[in-house]
Order: sequence, then C-alpha cells, then structure tokens
Amino acid sequence: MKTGMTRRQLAGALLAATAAAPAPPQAPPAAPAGPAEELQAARERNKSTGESLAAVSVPVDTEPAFHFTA
Amino acid sequence: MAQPASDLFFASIPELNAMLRAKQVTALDLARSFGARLETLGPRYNALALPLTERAIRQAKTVDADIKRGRFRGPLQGIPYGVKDLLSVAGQPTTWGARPYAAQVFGYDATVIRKLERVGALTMGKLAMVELAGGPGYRYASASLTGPGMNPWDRSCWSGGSSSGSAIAVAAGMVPFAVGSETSGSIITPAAFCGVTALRPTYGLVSRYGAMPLSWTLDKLGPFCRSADECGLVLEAIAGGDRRDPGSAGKNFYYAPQYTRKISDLRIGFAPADFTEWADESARPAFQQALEVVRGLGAKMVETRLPDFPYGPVIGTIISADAASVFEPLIASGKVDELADQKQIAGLKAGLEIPAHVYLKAMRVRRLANLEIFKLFTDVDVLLAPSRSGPAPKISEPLDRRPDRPTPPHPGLAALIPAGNLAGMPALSLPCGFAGNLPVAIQLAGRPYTENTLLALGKEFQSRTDWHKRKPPGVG
Repeated sequence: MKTGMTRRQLAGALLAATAAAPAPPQAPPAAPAGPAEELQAARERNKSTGESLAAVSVPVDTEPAFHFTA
Repeated sequence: MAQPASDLFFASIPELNAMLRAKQVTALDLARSFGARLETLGPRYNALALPLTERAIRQAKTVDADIKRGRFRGPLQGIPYGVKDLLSVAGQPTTWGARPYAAQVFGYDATVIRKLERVGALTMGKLAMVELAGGPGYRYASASLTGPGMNPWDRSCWSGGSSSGSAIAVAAGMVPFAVGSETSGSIITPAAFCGVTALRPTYGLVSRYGAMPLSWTLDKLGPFCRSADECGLVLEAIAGGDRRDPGSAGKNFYYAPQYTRKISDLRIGFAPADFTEWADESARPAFQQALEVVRGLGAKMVETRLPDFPYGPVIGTIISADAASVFEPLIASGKVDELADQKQIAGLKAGLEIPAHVYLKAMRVRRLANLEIFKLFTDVDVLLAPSRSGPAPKISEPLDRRPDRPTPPHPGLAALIPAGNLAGMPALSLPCGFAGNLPVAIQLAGRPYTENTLLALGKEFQSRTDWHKRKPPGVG
C-alpha cells in the first residue's frame, strides 16, 4: 500500500493519533480481598489524593477555607 | 374520611393544604392514611427507619383544633413529612443508618423538626439512609442498617444515597415531602435516581443543629418534594439563623419566585459535552430534550466549563479527615467494624492518618477553587448540567466501578457536585425524562443565596414538562 508518507512520517502520525485518542475504558478495580487489603487500599487512595493536591501550586498568602470569627 | 383515593398520596402540598382549609379532609385523616402507607410501603423499599405515626396523630389533633378555630399557620400546616434518620427526634432512636448507633437516643429535637412542627407539619417517621451518610466512601448499596435503598421505579436498582429513604418515600407517595442532607451528592443523587425534585440549599442557610456531623464546612440539609414550587415552600419553613449551629449564616429565606429577574435576562452556562460524551448513552435523548426545553425558556445559553482543579481529591481529603475526627471514638472502640461496608470501615480508619499538611493543602486549594468558580458567575447566572450522568445502577453493582467508556477530553461541568459543594452553592435537581424505565434529571446551580432564581427557573421548566408528575409503577 502506498501512503505518500515516509515511514518516519507515518510513525509520527500514528503516535500523534494515539496521543490524541481518548483514554480507553479502564477495567473495574477488583474489590480488596479482606480488611487488611481494604485498609491498605484506603491508604493508597489517601496517598494518591495527597499527591494530586501536592501538584497544585498555592500562593503563600492563601488561607485555608475555614470560617473563624473572633 | 372514607378509604383515601390514591391521588391523595400524590397530591401537591398546596392541594392538600387547600383540602384541609376547605375541610374536605382533616389532618388526622392525613396522619392516619400516610402513616399506614409509610408503614406498609416503607419496608418494601427499605425506606423506613422508624415510624412515628402516634406522634403525628397527636400533632394532627392540635392542627385540626387550630384549623377549626381559624388559626392558619401557612402552607405546611397539616402536611405529613419524613426526615432522614440523621436528625434527632427527642426520645426516639436516631441510628445514623449504622449498627453501632442502633440504640442511640437524643433528648432534643433537631432545629428543622422544631421549625416544621411549629408551622403544623406532621412528623411521620425517620427515613432510611446510608450508614454515617456515606462517611469517606462506600462500595455497595447495602451499606445501611436497613439494607439497600430500593428504587421505586425498579426494585432491583439502587435508590441512590445517602438520603435514600427521603427520595424513595417522596417518589412512592409515602409522604408529600421529606428532609435529607448533602455533604457531596447525597441530595442530588437520590433525587435524580428516584425521579423527585430536591434542593440543596446554600451552605449555612438551614440549621444543622441536631443533625449528625460528617464534614463541618460541607454538611447541608434540604427538602425533597415533587416540584420546585414545593421545595420553595419547605425551604422557607426550615431556613433561618440558629446560634446553635456554628455554620449558620444567620439568614432567612422568603420564597418569592415572582420577584426574581426575568428568565429572558438570565444567562445559563452549560457544557455540550455533559449532555453527550459524559452522559450514559441511554440517557442522552432525555438530556438533549431537557436542554432544548431549557433553551426554550428564553434565557441566553452560554457555553462554559469549570476551572481546572482536582475537585475530587480536595473534597475527598476534607470529608475523610473530618469524618475520621467525628467518629474517632467509634474507631478507637473497635465498634467501627460493626459497620456494613468494608470500604467505609477502612476509609474511616485511614482517615485518621491523613497528615495535617495534606488537609490544610486541601482547604487552601478549596479557597483558590472557590474564587475561580465565583468568577464564572460574572459571565453566567446559573449553571446547568445533568444531575448524574445516567440512571440508577443495579443494587448488586459495586458503586466505585468506573463507567465502561473513555473519559471525555472536555471536562465541562462534570465535577459540578464536588465543586458546587466545596463552594457552598445551592443546586436544584429536576426530573427530566427516562433512560429505559429509570428516571434521569438535570441540575441547576447558582451563586450562594440565589435559591429563588433556581426555583423560578425550575418552576418554569416544570410548567412545560410533566416528568415530576410521573408515578412509579405498582405504588398505587
């Protein structure tokens, strides 16, 4: 088959198409087997959410969204 | 009164109130009829935590005496209602939907119950809920002392939670209205899945005194009704300052949709992707039709999207840490293991280990997110999105299962539930059609204290549709 593209151009185009494609559906997470695994899974979720928060840059003068009245 | 007609159970609050004033029925008739229905149908759907029929009958006798003497106390006088079992009723069990609290009794009434009884509403019963209002998260619909909330439209499907019983009871005509609570999604979700109208008020507008705390800066109480108009009537009765609730805004609410801005002057923000790519395929026709009805109201439609923030991690961290602190004695005692859902048990235990700096970071990111969300409201007055992306799942399905479709590239307003709760915004869920045999809904969200605008829009939407008037099959 002739495409009119070099192999390098074709590889580049395929890579770009892959990058632009939406993420494929993810398999449902398997439920942890027992209480110990469940606790470990909860700790992992907390770690992951902590990492998501750490990635957000916050100006130094940003106060927490608490409400306090003296 | 002879055998009540089934239409009585689906009559609106103004219709019932008019019948009472015209002496076509008495409050005692209503207390007995709705009490019998709640006690019969409630267990069938796992919607009832505790009947309070005798209490309602005593209240009804007082109401009838008042009406006889011409003492009219407003639109809720003589109207039966139910409350989520996280609100205390003096001397009665308040279980919070959880086995470790099955015998818990408080000596006082929650403020919303006091307010409703003061205007003559009849407290018919405590309604079922997800244990601890869902705490930091749960995996199965069975996470409740009363079993999984069953959807009146299809008992094999979930009712949604955590205000399960409040939504089921209104949908199946067991009570004309109910009170539920939302920390993140617990009003909007069951309202959407059960096909009823419900309002999540602005944070601080309704006192939470006497309600189970889950997350202090997020917890809110709100009404489940059949229509937006009725949500306005109930909100007016339950809103108001209360020095016993530290989060109280000290504001009243007067339901006056007629005095809001003209709908043609409003700008409604929406994201087309919410109604297509983000929506379950089965729900897309109903969402598209609802979008067209909203367009037809005459407001200016503006495409918009939420600012980029990790709303899920922010709200998840705050709820997990707050809930772990609230329930620290439960965790320390080991009784936490009596809860029904393993994910919830583990989430509470792990919540105690969240470092202070992570919690504070979540609260600081929340501050930034709220500032950006409120900037949205310089371009729009109301945000419109599906309440949930699709209909209720099967009861047997794990609730943390990811959808079987790719994550859409456009974020739209898909995170409106966590974002709206973080910002303390009010939201109104309106039934808008069906996906198969199950209801789906849209939500309108606005700036804090714009409930009248949302209710006026909702009322206009419901004057052009009849989804809110549909009755589930098999409930008489």
